Amino acid sequence: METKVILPQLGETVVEGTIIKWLKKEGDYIEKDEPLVEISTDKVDTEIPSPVKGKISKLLAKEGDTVQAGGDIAVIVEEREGAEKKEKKGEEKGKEPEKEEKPTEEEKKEEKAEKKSSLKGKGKKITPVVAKILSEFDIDINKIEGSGINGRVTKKDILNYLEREGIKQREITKEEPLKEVKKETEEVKTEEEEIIEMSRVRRSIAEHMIKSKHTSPHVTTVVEVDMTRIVGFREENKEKFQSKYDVPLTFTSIIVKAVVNSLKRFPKINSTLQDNKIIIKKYYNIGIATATEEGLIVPVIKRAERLDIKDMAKEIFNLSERAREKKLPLDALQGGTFTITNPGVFGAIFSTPIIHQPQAAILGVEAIRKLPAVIDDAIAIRSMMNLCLSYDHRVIDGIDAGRFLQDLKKELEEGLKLEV
Amino acid sequence: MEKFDLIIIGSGPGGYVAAIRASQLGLKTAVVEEDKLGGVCLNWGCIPTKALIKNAEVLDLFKKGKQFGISYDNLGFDFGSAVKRSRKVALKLSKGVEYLFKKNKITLFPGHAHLTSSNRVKVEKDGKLVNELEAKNIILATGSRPKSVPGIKIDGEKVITSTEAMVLEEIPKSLIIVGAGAIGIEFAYIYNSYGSEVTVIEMLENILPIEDKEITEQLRSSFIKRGVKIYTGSKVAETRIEGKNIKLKMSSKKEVKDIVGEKILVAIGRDPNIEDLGLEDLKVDTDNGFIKVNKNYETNVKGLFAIGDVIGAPLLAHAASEEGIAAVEYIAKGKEAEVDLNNMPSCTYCQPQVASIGLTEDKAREKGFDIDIGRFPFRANGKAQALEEMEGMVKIIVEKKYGEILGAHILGSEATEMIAEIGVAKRLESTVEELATTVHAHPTLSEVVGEASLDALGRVIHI
Repeated sequence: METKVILPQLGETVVEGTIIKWLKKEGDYIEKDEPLVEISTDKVDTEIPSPVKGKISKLLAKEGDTVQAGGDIAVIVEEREGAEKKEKKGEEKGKEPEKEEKPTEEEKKEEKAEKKSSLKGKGKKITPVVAKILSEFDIDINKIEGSGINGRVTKKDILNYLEREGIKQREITKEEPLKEVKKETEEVKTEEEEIIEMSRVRRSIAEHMIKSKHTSPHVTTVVEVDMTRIVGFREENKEKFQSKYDVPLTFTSIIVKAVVNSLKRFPKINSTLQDNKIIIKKYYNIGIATATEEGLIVPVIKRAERLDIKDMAKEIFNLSERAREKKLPLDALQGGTFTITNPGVFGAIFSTPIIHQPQAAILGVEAIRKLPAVIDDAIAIRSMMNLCLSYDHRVIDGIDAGRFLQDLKKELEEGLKLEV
Repeated sequence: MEKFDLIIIGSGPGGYVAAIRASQLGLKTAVVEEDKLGGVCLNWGCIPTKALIKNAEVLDLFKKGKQFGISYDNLGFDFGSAVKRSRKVALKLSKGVEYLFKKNKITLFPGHAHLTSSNRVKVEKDGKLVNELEAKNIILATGSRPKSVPGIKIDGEKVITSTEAMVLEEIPKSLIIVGAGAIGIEFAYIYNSYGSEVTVIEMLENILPIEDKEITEQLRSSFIKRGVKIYTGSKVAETRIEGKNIKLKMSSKKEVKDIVGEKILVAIGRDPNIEDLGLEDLKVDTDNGFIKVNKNYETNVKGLFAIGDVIGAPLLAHAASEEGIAAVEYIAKGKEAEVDLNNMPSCTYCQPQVASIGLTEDKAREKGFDIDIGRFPFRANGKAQALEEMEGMVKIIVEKKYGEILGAHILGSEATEMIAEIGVAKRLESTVEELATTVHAHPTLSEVVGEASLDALGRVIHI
């Protein structure tokens, strides 16, 4: 049995990876889960383990090559019982893909060329629209019966086929429009304009943002929170905390704690919409949007409900350090149930964050400023902060968001137990 | 009792084309026709009106003579000879159909057909039975006739239909046209060119309501410039004869108004010819008067088929012909019919002409397509400048993802000829890329189609 090793989707917004180093050669034997290759992506560097036990018959990418997520990188011939048979089989099979590989690649090229020129899909007549559709799917045109003139495959034929077989589109459309845009900007180039090629990270952020805006109707609601109590607590404890635990006592860690407490009381905010079903998450994996040199990244604090303020501070520090060094494990970027973003660090006092799909809401934490506030008809100087919650209106109504924010405000102003 | 494989009732563009195709496929075919061969299209529709329109165009060209440095005194015209020429053309074509029948050995039975059962027809002439025919299959291709407005009596004198309008002896000083579909608009063009004061009244919000709004709005301003008065969103009520004139009451949301004219032309649509055919006794299903058929044009009565205007929209000669061929191929070979109404061109022969195929912009959006639109005006085309025919534009509606051409709309002096190119492209399921990279000879009006396609791709050259 032959198994193709593919480059897995390394994180939600990673579309491709670069082969750093092959840890095995062609012809080597490999155990299941034994590291096969080192991969570097925009966000993480990681080893890919072998999915099966067997002999490596072919490495399909060279070191330094960039491979699309989902693309094949190696062929392994699985081990079977019987040593001799195994050997032979292994070798025969090992050669087969070599032989096959070339023609298929050529065929692919041919197919593409044909699609462009004579509109024949491997000997079948097709229409230009069908050619366009074909370029987005991995399908064998010969399997489709053509109902057009002289058996020509029409749009109706191919769409029926795709629907019947439940074939989904290959992930290549994403890049094309962006390339087009690039071309156009080049055309308008003047000396007063500079053109910067969009990096892979930038592109995947762009796609993610568009997807989110297209998926969820966003609404943002804002509350003002009196942070005087928390500012006081932090001032009092920050030095002691730093020396004791070797990590800073941050507002973020305190706010995450309060958020988790409030999320428990408002389950809908910590949910996901899927196929007309609202899935309420009873665990609290809180993503913290973090700016890095390479772009935006969202490490996730797993099971935040199990952490107290001290552990939260440690975890956040730990994650952000590793993120900066590009050393985050894949796992640390996945599985978030709610996200917090912190434009306040740049002095912002108001924002409308974009939801991190497939979550239902995101909280923007704004700058804490000293402001005059009215307390019992007297004016006092208080440390005030805005919290901006963007939420998916398909799932969450204004009333849910409002109540959640009121609860969170109360939690921060008086409810949350402050101790380290 | 004469026996045939197929009897076709009606010899318009649906019936006679079906008969020829049937004969090609080896069916012994009879056609029953109570009037002239060729039906309304050849005798009282498409063809004679095109002859009249050509006369109007020639007259228009003379009026524009000064632009070309051609001068004359006392430009005169004789509408009577225009009518005479149009009748001659119609007669010639009707004779042509007669010849085609002989060539294809189709038996013609002049007279009125009446179905006595699902496979028998009696032919009557002047109320007398002249023949009885039998066939396994019968196709009804009886067509349609002008529809009247409730409350307005068509007398053929003051209130007329398109039939009378194409044989008027004199140009009326003023003409009120009720209905701004293709027929109303074509007559508005003819009579305006010949000097009538023309007023067009349309119930819907746009003239040529099935066409793309952007196109018809341009046509409307072109007509207004020519001096045609247009009222849309307006209903008509009653008429009253006032001496030599007739008064028509008209009401819109804004106003109630009386319009006076020498004649009223009613062109609000067409009614199917289904009466006195014996359809009631056979219990043939109808819908709003139009005969109901399945995908292969068979009615609820087995072996009884119907095609063309009598089955409803689109009421177009070329649609009837296509349906006729499809029905015959189904009868002769069992081939399932595939007439794609979405690839059916639609043409109006006023100047500038209007031609379209496929979806309008509004329809495409309504159907949820994500679209790109390519536009190019004739004004920016060299040939159009040389011809002094700068009015209008080409507009192409393209599906964004795969670039499929969903529709095309042309307003321009040769629009009805130019639409054929896009018909081929659509038939071949071309994307806009193929159309844009097709080389169009220079200088031609068709270059505008290429440019509009390029515009849809964001690569337009000459603008």
